[in-house]
Amino acid sequence: MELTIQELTKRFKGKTAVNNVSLTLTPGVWGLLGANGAGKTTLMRMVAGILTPTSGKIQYDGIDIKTLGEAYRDVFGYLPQTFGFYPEFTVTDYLQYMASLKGLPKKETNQKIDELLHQLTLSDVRNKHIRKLSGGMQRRVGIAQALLNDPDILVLDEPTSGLDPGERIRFRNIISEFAQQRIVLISTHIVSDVEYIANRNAIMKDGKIIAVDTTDELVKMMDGKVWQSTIPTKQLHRYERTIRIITVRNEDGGSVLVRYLSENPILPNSQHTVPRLEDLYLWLFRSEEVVKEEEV
Amino acid sequence: MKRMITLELKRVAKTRSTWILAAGALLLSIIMALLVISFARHWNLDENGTEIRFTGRDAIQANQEMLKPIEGELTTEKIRTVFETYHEVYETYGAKIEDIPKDIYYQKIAPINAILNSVREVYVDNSTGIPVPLYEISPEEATNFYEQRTERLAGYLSQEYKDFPNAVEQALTMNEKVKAPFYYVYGVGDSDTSEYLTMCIFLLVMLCTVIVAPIFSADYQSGADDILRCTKHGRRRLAVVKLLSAILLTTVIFAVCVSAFILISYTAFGWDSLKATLQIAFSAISFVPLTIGEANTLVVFSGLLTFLATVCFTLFLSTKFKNPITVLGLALGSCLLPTILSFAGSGANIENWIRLCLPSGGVGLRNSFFFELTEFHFLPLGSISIWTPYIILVAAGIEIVLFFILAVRSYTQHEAA
Repeated sequence: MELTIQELTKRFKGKTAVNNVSLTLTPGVWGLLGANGAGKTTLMRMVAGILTPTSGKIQYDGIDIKTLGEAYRDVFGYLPQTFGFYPEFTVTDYLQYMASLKGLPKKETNQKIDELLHQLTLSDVRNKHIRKLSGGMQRRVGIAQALLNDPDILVLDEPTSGLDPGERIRFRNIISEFAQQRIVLISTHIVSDVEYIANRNAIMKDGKIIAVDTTDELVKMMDGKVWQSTIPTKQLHRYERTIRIITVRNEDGGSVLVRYLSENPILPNSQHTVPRLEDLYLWLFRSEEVVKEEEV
Repeated sequence: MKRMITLELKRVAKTRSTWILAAGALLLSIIMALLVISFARHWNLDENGTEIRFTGRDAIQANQEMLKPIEGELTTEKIRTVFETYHEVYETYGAKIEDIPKDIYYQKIAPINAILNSVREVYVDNSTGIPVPLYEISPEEATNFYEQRTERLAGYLSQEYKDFPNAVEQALTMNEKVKAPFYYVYGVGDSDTSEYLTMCIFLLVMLCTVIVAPIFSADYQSGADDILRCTKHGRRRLAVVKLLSAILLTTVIFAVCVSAFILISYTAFGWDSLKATLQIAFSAISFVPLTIGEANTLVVFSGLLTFLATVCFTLFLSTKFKNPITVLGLALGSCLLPTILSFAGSGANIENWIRLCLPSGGVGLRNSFFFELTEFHFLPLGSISIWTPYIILVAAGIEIVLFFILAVRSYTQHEAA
């Protein structure tokens, strides 16, 4: 199973959102990282077949997805960034509606819905109107609909936005389990979400893929560039302007432990520390703000 | 497909606005039928000789009793008797109504007025087109009513369509099928039922436009469509399902509301009155060979076609625009356009073609299939002339299919922004 993106470009009124992107997705979880406006959503919408590329093509096992049409959509699951639902529907109504659109046999539908509601801890709200659910619950309903047809290709655009830490961990586990022999593409700017579950990552910037590799290999790019040092708290303000600080942790005795990125040590007594995917993200998107897990 | 339609119907039916609008439509239909009943009038004198007025059901009942003697076939013998009565009154009191004592008027003239009006329309001075005063028509002459009617119709059409002999020919051919003698029963034909039935259909068209306007566009706006169109059946089949469900739901609303209107008004005015000839109720020289019941059935049928054409057109607009308000504005605007054209237009042929061919061309405040049916309008198309009710029916029929196909195509090809 292979999803091949070949020289894909999408232009909107003079702005190139996706620029000549080529990528071959194989089974496993793929993280698509990039800052807001990097072109992730546009790329995903083209993969979903709801946006026509300006040039280039997408093939599933060697056949253009446009040619495959219904057959492609039959093995496809999608959760867009904005989960639009029918406010008049309860959770069960909505999932039944989606199941019929996905061509699930009536007999299997209820069982599948029960299973997903249990997995996503939505059983208690199955008869509630979706509009009355919290943002996190609505997002989980969105994930449930994407999983209804056990898709071979699952594309999730910012699936964890609005989920609390517990829900995000549960989500990661579900996806990890689900991704066996399936292609799962998760777009996010919350790096930690994919760090634990993505087999491979593609990093997008300004409409281009600037790096593709396994998490470990990508992290290796940061070897020797992540430092930590303990400095007096009063000096922190001075360094904040000159170096790329990732985290600051208060220590006893009026000092702070600073984790920062640099080719060379800048702070006194700096020591190498183990790099993470988040560090690479920050390194690549110097002008962007990384969204840390604890801030979400 | 059946399961998808059931679920889509469930979805649309669960929408609060659909319920509110459907309930509103039913309430309006009932109110309009009750209004028609309330408009019925009957004047008479009480035991003390004071003029009294009945309205509503009492008036209908009183009119039914008063007109009982002239009900049935309008034979030449009956026309002669009516004219003998008229001349008897005329010779004593003259032609002016105000000179006739009220008791005589209510006793002798009021019950035969419907027939006198038909005769008045038929006997016209050919050189001036002015109706011949009734007192100048003898009972003997009045028995020529049916021959005179055909002559009058031919004369009127030749004058009106002197450059379009084809129109005259068509009308006279149709007229040959008009049954003589006419048949009269007081009731639906004497009321405003047909006009209000048209008005009721017009309001239903507007309300159902509001129901269907967001069917596709609201999904575009909320982003729900992004998910739907990624599913196996989320393109052509979903478009067909959404269209069929919307059509089915609005047709049920149409059927329930029109049935309610008809049941209430027909029951009040009497189902027997549907057998009355259209010519006595509207125009004695009308060439349309229908009874009141048949004419109203045709109005409902044409109304349904117009209704469906407008619904399909609105659904097509809904597949084109992301904002339901834009769709609603355009759809309601197009619903009102035929009415605006009939009020403010110059009456040019091209304008009439546009007015009649618009999806909602068959219903409006001054334009409607019913008005076209009871008028004498033909529009030229090259060397031939086409009777305007045909234009409405054919245009609506074509538009239902056309906009259905265009809506499916437009939705299938729609691309997210």
